[in-house]
Amino acid sequence: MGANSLSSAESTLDLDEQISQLMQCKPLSEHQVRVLCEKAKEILMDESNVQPVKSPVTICGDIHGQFHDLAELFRIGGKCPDTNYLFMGDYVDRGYYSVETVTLLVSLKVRYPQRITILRGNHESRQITQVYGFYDECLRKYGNASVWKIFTDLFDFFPLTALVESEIFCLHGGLSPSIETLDNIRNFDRVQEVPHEGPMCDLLWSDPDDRCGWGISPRGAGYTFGQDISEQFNHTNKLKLIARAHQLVMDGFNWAHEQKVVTIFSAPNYCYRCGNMASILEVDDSMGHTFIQFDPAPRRGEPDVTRRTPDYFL
Amino acid sequence: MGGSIAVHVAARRSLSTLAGLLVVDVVEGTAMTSLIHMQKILSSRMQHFSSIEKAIEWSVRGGSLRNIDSARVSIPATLKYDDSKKCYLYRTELEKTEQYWKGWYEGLSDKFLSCPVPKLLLLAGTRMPSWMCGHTIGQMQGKFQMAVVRHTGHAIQEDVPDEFATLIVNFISRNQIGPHEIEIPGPRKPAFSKP
Repeated sequence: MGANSLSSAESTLDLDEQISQLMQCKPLSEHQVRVLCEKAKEILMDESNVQPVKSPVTICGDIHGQFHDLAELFRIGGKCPDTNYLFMGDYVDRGYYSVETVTLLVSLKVRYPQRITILRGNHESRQITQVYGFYDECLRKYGNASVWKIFTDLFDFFPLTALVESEIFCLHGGLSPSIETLDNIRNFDRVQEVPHEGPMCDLLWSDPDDRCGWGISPRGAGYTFGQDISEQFNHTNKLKLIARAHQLVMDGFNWAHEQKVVTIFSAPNYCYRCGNMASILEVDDSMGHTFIQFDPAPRRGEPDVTRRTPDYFL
Repeated sequence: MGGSIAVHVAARRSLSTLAGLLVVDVVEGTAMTSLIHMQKILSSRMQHFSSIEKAIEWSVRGGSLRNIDSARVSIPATLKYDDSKKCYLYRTELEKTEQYWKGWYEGLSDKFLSCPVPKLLLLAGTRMPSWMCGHTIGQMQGKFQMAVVRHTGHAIQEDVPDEFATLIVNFISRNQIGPHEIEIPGPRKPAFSKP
């Protein structure tokens, strides 16, 4: 036990140092990332596809590599582990600091596994990250794609949904015509690349809609679902609220389906030009809800991202 | 400008049979940004060709296309023979259309998003960073599908025709366009009725 205890203490010290470094927006070394993700995998593989979460908890939406805005979120919502957090995916792509963002959140998960829950978004995927920036950012910051591979392998282990005090169902996207009960979600194997269609795809891609019933999603994956669908799902599973992310909403949060579905978006001034507010949802220990809106952190001068000469397109 | 025409026509809602809108590598933001460079780009093109084959060769070697087989199909129609200069020239003098360029692209994003039919925007993956070129707000609100096609220039349909065709077929299938949902207008006589 002595040796194990020493090793554990050293590990904790290392993690705290890494978290301090990451809070300054400085990436870890490739080796540190590899060790970190191995530990994260061991923690995440034991979590359920419907991961139980206790209140109080602060629920967050998309971050998309906007590291300084994530730091702002922690300033406003409180530091982890003093505040419990639930993040609903899309940590990477589009913003300039996907590497630092996802590394920090994974580090916090390893350091305080019971205090932070990190779900999978549609961007936690090999195919999507090769297109929308995370892959290129890893190449730029590490000189090769090893760190991209380490993280995308880890993403397969992220839980798909969470359940706060058996009342609030949390996930990145939305519902699926293939899923009626929470047990349907608990029962399938999530450790895989996000498929192009099917229930796992739908959980990460679907959106609520004003129109009733199921619709073909304009996104090209997932479905749109109406109030009749969410009412039935909530009733069947004895839920009070579905909290989800995935859609940019200008106020940072948006109610739908007579306050039974809420969208939370936590990347302010998304892509550094959308002009939206961000928000997080505080759920207290009596299950009361409070939205906290916030603006972008002061800009520090974006890094130079190479742009080609404009192409011919007439 | 084909993408601009397609969007303007779709936004007018005058085609009752319109079933979907697919735009190839045209977005208002990047288009407007690029306009100030366009005359320079046009003037840097090779202007005179001794033969159609030379023009095809140049379009792939020094121009904007990457697929010689496709260029053989598309380039001839863009040329005309000048008897006095004894060589081939571009049929359309794009330089002289500058006064209209802005009108083609201004407001294109709003028009695109306002179209009520399913929408697919294809972007060339070599336009880096490609994910910054889209209608960001509309895409993140889930209003249309975007596909970034890697290893291709602006003329996606020419550079990677097989991949392009697959994207179209999947778009048609997913949105249930076609014989089982919407009739596709076609030639008056079925092909098999030919004598």
